[in-house]
Amino acid sequence: MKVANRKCIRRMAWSNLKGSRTRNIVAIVAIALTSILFTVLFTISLSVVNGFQEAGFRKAGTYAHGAFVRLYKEQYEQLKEAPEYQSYGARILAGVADEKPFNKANVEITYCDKQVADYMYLTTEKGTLPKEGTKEAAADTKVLQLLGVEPVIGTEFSVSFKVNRQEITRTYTLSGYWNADDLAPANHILIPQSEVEDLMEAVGTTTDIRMGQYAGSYDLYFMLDDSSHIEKTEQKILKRYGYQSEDPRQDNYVSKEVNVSYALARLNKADAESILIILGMAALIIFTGYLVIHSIFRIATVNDIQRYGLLKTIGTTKRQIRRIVYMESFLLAGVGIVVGLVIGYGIGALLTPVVTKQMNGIRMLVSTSPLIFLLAAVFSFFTVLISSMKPARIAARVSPIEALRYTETASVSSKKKRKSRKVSEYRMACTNVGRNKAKTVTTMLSLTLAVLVLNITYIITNSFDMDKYLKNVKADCMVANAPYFQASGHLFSETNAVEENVIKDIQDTKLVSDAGRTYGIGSEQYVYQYVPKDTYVSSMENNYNSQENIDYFLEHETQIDGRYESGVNLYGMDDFCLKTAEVVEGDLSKLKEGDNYIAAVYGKDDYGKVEDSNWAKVGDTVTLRYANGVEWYNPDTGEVYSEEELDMLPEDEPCWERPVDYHDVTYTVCAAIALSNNMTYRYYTFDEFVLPSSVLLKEYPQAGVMYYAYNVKEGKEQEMEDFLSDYTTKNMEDYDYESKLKWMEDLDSYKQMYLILGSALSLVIGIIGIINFLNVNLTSIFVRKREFAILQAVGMTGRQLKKMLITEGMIYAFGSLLLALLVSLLLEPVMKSAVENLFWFCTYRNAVAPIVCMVPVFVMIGAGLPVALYHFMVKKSIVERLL
Amino acid sequence: MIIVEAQELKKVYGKGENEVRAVDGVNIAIEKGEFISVVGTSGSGKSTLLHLLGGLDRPTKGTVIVDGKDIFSLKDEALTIFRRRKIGFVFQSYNLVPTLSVYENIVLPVQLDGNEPDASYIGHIIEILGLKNKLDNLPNNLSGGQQQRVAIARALAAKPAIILADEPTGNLDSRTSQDVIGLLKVTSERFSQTIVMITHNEEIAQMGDRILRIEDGRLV
Repeated sequence: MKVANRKCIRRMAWSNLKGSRTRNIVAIVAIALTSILFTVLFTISLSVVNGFQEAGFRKAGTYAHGAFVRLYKEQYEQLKEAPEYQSYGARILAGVADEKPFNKANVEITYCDKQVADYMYLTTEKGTLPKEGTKEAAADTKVLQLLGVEPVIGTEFSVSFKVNRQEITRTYTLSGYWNADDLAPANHILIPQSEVEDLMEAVGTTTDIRMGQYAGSYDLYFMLDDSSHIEKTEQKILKRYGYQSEDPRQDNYVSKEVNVSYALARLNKADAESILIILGMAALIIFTGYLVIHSIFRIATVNDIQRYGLLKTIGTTKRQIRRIVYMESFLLAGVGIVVGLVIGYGIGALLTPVVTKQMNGIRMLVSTSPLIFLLAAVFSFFTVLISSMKPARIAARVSPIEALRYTETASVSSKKKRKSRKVSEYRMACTNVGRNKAKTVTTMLSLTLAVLVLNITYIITNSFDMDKYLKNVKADCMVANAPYFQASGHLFSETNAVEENVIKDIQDTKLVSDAGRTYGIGSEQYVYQYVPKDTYVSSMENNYNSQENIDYFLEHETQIDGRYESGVNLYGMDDFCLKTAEVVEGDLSKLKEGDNYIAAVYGKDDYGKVEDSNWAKVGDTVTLRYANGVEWYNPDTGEVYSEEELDMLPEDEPCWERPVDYHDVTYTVCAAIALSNNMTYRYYTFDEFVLPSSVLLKEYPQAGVMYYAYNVKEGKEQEMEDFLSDYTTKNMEDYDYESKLKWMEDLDSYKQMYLILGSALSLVIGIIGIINFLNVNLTSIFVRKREFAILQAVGMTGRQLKKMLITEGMIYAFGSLLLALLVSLLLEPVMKSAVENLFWFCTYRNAVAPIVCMVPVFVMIGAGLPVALYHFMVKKSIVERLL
Repeated sequence: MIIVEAQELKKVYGKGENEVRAVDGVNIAIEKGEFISVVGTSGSGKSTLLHLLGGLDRPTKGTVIVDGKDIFSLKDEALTIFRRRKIGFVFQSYNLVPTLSVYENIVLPVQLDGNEPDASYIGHIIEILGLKNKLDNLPNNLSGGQQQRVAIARALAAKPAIILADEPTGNLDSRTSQDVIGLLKVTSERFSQTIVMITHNEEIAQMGDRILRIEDGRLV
């Protein structure tokens, strides 16, 4: 039977709510705090995920989902009609500039429509994009800086570049500019479409994709409705228009690009450890919220139990009563959650920079994803829901008769007897606290949680071990070209070698005590090693080559004595740098004895374990081929390509490089060593070896200085720091440095992040705990108002009563502190392994200091609150309270 | 010997039109060992009078002297201490402390005073009131009559100067009421206690040595 009683139930719930203002406020505050915690958690998490994704976009150069690149105009016109795009835009290549002053940058001269400019973060900060039919151009600040042009709109500037490999110089008027992004793969000059055509005409070239003449070719960038099937959608579109992207030799070949950041971001999201941490935090918040919200609702329900009994008597069903209780909870939750979302987002926005500051290359951007609010609301609502279940059951189950007798005391003292002992205010306090053990324990737990979180925060930050953190830092300072320090996969290039005048400037400070250079082989320099077949094959397998491919390579690869040609990461180290190496096996001093010894480098993980990461063992011989150049040839036919042929070479022709003008030297491995991570190339491509710098330079004088490392005279560290920071920002902007001082600041700020987040978390949990305590106390004193009047009537003085209440408060205070102490002692083994596994630079140090520090705070709360409530209560006379 | 004396006792609630004169110039003198019944309709001011005599409430005017002491000259804390030593209360709704056992409830005023209860005296009261087998029970497990007997024992425990009973039988059936009042009378005689008892039950009032009638805050 269905009765239209919803309205009635709703009215009943509503009138109930209006009747208990204090309870409502307490409940709303508790729900809001819970919802604040969730919102902050999700704001920070999603901001970090977004930050990573955005950094990925910036590295890819665009946030567009994908692109069809190098299209003829007709192909572009055709493909742009596909209905799958949510938005799309065109980009037309005009030329590239790679000669001085752009030899260290990668500058592209293109036309981009508004949409693509937006996709590629090329939005002008000042001015506008160039207007059609003019000689205007827009560029980024890096381009302008390299050209030596002041960023002023209307300035004329000349720039030389190549259109289909033909040099041309043009003068443009600056129409707009934007800040260059260090992470971006290229720098840009944007010109009007009319100028592209003009340029091609001027040099007399046409677009011919197969011949590598890309000037005038279109790139079609687009966003789809959904980022999850980019590649499949692209294939679908191509197929529809009769194109394919597999076989470049076919005429209908179209090259497609997929923005991997979307896939990577999804992988990141699925990063198990982060998910676990976020889930753990969510569980903690649910638990905290449950403790307080459940307690508030339960007390409210018990106080209202007579009314529920009455409702039952007049014919309200269980279901209806449950619905009344839920309805009340949900109305309160509605208000609390909205308040929590707003405040929480504010706090989250404040805390996000604290976190993102610690992550390299992430720009601070607070996520505005609606997912934050959705997740926070859902989790908060879930917490309220589970918190209301038991109270709803209690209310629904009560029998009309029992309701009259149902009080907090009666409901729980199932005990019939009690051993009589001497009565004192202390013993009475103990009895009172023990009246409802479940309530007492949850209240204590609620207070305990805050202390525990604080203590764990303290333990983690206190365990940060500077010595461990600095164990890889073997020199006070390292100076190198900026890309060396960037974690973005820049290969060391001879153009990025440290120049001798920079080293001289540093030495001229007279602050250096001991120093050394480490030389490296640049990406356009050619030194090879010859590795055993197994090593060769396994490295090919690591690069996901097919068996067919591997066999092909084994057949055609250059060999010496049955060993196969491979690249090598070779170092030439001065003594200062060489001394930082850790000898795993063998005798490093032999390196000095003659020119024919070499050291093999083995890797170490973050925990200091040496990995089996080099094919060469102590005693093995290693042959290196030092070449002054390479030539390009067809491995099938042996035909060597000329420069011109190379430029015109179809993409699918096999084209290998091999050394020319070379000499071979064979060394004996005298030692296996481990280099600290900071002293290496900072990327791993091939098995690594170390020679003394003098030996390397003798064989290969063109090797460049990869970094210059040195120690600073005692007490001069700050002075050197000031010099370097000034030098690398004002004099030599291409250079950057690392220093022990900077590393120490790094760890400190990392520590600070944990302290800020942990303290903020424990503060909010603490407030929740106190609210719970306040509510429990308030109601327990309210419920016992009459009992206290009796006690006073039969002769308990105010002092004695206060003493009793203070004792009750103290039992809560010290009970929760002891519980915190106990739990943290029990957690110690788990904490130890968690802390040391999570952070390699941690040495677990247990601590209880925060718990001890909390004693005065808890004493104040435990004693102050009940006393305040007592004074509030005794405003009414005994007689009034007795009635 | 006069153990309790009230002079020109007045208690006024509210002001102006809402003024209620709950007790309006009462003079009483109560001899030691007397059992006095106070009767009156509800709202006549009998409870207020009792509260004033017992120092639970302060009068608007007038004095109450208990055992030679002007009780309203005492500060709150001192008055509370005086109360637990000199005045025993029995309330209509028993007012036992629910978390304390029967025995603990009985000796509560003595122990709150920091004293050890007089074992033989307490034992005697317990015996007379028939509570011997209930001492370790919690009050919730007792019948109304039993609870009120515990309250009487508690009132007697400190050997007070006077026992003030406010409708002690109000929640009891007539049979139990007779028993309880009988016990009250027996014990007060045995220990020569002075009792002032409020009731609206004429039959029970008749058990007193003297009956005071109160109407509109005045004795009639």
